Amino acid sequence: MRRSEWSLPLGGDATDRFLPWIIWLLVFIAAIALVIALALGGAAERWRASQSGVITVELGAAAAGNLPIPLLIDVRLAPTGGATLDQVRAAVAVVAPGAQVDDAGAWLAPLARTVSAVRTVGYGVLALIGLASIATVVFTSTTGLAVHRDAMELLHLMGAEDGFIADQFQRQALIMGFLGGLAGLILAAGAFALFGAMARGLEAPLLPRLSLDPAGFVLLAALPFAAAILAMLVARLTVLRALARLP
Amino acid sequence: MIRFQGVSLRYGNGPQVLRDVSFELEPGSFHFLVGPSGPGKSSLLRLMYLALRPTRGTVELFGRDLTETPRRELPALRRRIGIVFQDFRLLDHLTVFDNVALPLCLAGLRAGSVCEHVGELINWVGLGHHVESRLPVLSDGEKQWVAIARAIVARPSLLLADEPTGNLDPDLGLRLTQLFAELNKIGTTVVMATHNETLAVRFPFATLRINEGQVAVGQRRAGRLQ
Repeated sequence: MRRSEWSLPLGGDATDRFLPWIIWLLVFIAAIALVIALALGGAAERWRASQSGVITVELGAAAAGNLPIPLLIDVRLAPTGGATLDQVRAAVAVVAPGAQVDDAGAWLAPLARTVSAVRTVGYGVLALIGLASIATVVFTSTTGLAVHRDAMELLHLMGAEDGFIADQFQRQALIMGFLGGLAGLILAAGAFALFGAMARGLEAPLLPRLSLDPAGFVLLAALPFAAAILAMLVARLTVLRALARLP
Repeated sequence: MIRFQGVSLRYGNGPQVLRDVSFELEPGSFHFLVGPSGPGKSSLLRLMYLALRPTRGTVELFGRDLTETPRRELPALRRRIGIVFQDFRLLDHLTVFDNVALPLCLAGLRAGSVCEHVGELINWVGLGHHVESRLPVLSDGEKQWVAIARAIVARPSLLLADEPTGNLDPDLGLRLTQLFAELNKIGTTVVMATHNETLAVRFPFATLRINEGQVAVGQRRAGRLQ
């Protein structure tokens, strides 16, 4: 049958073209925020694990004398049954009175708090992007309804079910949301590749290594699908709400 | 078929367009809706095809009181009505075929039967050479025939036409009214709004006369044409 797939002329107006553009930008920012949040969480965990139970002994030059020993020594305490920080301090004070014994956790804690705060900000940005996406789709759907109001009312008067009309808007939002999301993810991947290349040239052994575990990659890859599904659901609800106001 | 009881209508805070209107149209009847220019005729039709709710009173359609009919059941009622709008209200992005086929698609008919039936009807209204044309290339008269074909393609129980002869020359207007009369003979209830009372008196049908918000139902008369 030479039947139109679409009864409403969606896809040709400015509101339909606007959606993928704003979605790619939102997904791009969301991908950056997600990677930062996930990578910082992983790095903080690895850092905490590597520094847990580690104390630093700093020997003064006088204490070392002419002996060929390092001035800064990391001591890893046994998790159970080993010496405590105070016992190590007492023992070191006997052989090297000027030496300083520090708990690595003492300086790691504020750093970990900072990392945690940055991660929380990352998740906050993600939540804001989710809200911005919802607002964007509500706006485009409402504007789309206004643009196509005559055609939509005609279908309504001819006996189209609300779901039939909403299906068309939601399908369009799904496609536009996915295309925009995919573009945003590809651009974000490019940005990460660039950042990675730049970071490899840095000499910063104290900085945590930023990497994602497989679950992180799955979450990242899910962003375009999440954007598409969110766009679809919001478009459907917006259209159904508008249709419910018709007689 | 249609029953109005104490129906009043006003748009916003504007004047009353209909005032305490009560009448009943039997199934299988044909009425010309006549009266002076103004919003009355179109408003009455819009109440009949469920584009408006009355400010006061009740409208019954197909034996259902619309004020008590759940909203989810209204689409099925609407699909039993064929509407010819004064301004056509065709979808410009679709072809003639798709515009005419739309009611059948909305009713969920299968592709094969739709193709055959729609093609026949388009040929019958004289637009066979325009089956795949888009609306912008058609004249107003041709668009009117597309709108009419769309209104009758699903063989509606109730046909409502708002000035359907307005864009047609007198001969075509007469032919169109004869077509509606034929549909009426096979059971379709017809209400046709027209300002052309000379056309109306040529047919043996009753009138619904609207004047200053009041509606009077006339009797069937002996028309000059059968």
